Amino acid sequence: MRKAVIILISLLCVGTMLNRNAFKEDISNKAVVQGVGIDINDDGTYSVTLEIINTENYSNADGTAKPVMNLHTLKGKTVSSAIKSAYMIDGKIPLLSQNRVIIIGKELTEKGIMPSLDFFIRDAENYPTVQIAAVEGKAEDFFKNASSETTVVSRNIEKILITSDEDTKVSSITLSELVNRFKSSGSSFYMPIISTFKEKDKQEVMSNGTAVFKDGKLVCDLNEEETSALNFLCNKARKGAVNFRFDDVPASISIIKSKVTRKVDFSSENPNFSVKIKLDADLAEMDCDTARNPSESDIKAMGKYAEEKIKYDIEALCNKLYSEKKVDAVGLSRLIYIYYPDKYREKEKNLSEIMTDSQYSVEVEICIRRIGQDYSS
Amino acid sequence: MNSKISVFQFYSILLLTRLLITLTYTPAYTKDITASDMIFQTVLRLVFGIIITVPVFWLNKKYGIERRDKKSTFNKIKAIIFSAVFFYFSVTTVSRLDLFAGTVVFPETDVKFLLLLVVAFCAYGAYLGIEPIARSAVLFIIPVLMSLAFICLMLVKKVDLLNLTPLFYNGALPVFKTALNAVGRTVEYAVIAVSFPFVTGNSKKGFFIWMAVQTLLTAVIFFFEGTILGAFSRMQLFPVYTIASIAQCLFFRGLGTLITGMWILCAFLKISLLIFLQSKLISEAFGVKKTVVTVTVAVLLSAVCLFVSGSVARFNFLDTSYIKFVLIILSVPVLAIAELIGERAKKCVKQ
Repeated sequence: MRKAVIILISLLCVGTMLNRNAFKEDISNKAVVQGVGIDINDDGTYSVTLEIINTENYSNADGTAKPVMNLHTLKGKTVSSAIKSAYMIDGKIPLLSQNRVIIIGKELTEKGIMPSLDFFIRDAENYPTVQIAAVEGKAEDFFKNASSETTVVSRNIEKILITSDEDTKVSSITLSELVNRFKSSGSSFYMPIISTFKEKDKQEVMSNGTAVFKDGKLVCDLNEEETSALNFLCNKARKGAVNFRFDDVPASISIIKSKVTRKVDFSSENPNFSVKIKLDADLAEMDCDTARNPSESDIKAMGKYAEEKIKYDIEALCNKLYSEKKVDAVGLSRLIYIYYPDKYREKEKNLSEIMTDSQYSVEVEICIRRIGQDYSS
Repeated sequence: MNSKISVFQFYSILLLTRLLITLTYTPAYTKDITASDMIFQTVLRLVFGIIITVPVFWLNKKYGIERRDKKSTFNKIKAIIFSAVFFYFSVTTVSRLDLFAGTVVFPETDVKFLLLLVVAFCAYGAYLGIEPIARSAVLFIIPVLMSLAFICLMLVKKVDLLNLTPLFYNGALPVFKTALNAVGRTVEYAVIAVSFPFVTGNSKKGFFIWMAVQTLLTAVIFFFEGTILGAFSRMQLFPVYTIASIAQCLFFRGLGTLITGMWILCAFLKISLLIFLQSKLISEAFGVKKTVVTVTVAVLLSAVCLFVSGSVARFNFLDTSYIKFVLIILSVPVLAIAELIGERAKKCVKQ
């Protein structure tokens, strides 16, 4: 039997190598896609921009370096047909298993993004962990602006989004999370907005807010503070800074640990949502002009200021999302589904009205653990 | 050759072959069922599984294993029914492997060569007998369970309990249907029914431990699938593979390869076991050489699987839950009850 297993494994390896595709499709014959940008055209067709690793010669004939990445923009009636037509440019078949990010253009976010994501859900090469983000203009223009000869834009974006746990002001969502939210949280979800900025003659990328969607269409944008509140509400604000004013000067604490408890009480006519946030934080910065050792009352006061700031931001976000825009990007309606399934079933059709009429109470408790090294008095 | 294996070895094989079903399950069979219901139905299927195997253990306890002439007409009919069931499940197992390899592992490749290779080596494994299969299972079980535990460990951080759902949200019927469907997909009950002659030790005790362990493993897998993927799992052809590909460890972007390895090992054991049982039953009942039966089964299996491999519609038709359920009910409790009645009638006539 042992012999049989060894022979089987050996033959599987040989068989795979002898496969008709093995010889002709080595990595240099593949277009290794690192990022995909999707735009919709006026005629309803898609423009797909692929950021592809340059696997050819690394320098031109004159000795100058070739860019690390190639950008190809392709058109097609569907996203898949546009991507697959990439081979017509240089004869290379696109490989999506290394795709890091899908960038959606503004116009497509307004028209509805779900049909354009279907290919990525179906395609076995594409990972469900691929990050999704929106841009203000066209995805094609974004890639053109952000790309340079030495950087892989998609990897930079992925790094920024993956480390969103470290910064409350950055949101992130993967393909599987997005689809899950779309299917289960009143068809609402969110995604980060990515933009470019110039630093020392070089274009860099950054996340500057969040786009909120309902039924696959863009509803509103959230600024950095609203994004921070969204992360707290979604229990995704693990680390990061909270800025507030203390003694009329800017101060900041950095979160070490956070615990968010979300509850719903639907015993009365309208649900009452309560969010309790417990944070352990370090004092990161305070009045540095008159550097001093904060007294116990100062520490308490700073904690209180930070608590009020978070509370204010969250209440403002709830008001914006649930009262003004009538969208449940946070997924609080899921609590009704879990704890009050009968009421959820009864009111499923007019859930957005129920969420608008709901009460939202926020309680924040911050414990400042350390005050840093400045003990001068 | 009357080789025998221990209860531990036997249930090690069955644990791996049952694990294969969980790893390869497709949500299309579990319509209208939510994440928490999926976890709960594992308990129901445990109960159903015990119920349908009661007549088998009762028959074995009351009349022993060597109770009749192996070449009697009843035994011949029994051998044909069981062989048909095992052949059918061999076809679905190979075809599912083909679907997985063709969709996930080598999406751009024609995997027919791989399919033939797997059948050929499973037939060779079956030809070697039950002992080598059992030894391989004992050898494989530790790495397979460790891989599973490792994947689960890498996924703990991604668990979101808000993806759980209220129990019986779409009613109790879909939950019962899913549990019955799972029972129908468990060919291991039929394997147990014919295994008593070559298994030594307390089979009843082994059965209960096996049931408990496989229920626990299945519940854990469904818990991770439900709480990590949520509604996304309903849209995946192989959701367990998807959660493994979400798990990340150091520089590995996804642990789907581990699942693929486990899948191939388990499939190899399962197909070998099923071919072995077909050759054993047919050769004992009809006096045909084991080698001849093994080769015939392998050729037939390859031919049918190649035919099925050409179209996903053929696979869907073949993999119908109702057919599997009817086959399992017929071969496990119905046949055992018929035999019990027959034995009792014979006893009455003698008295």
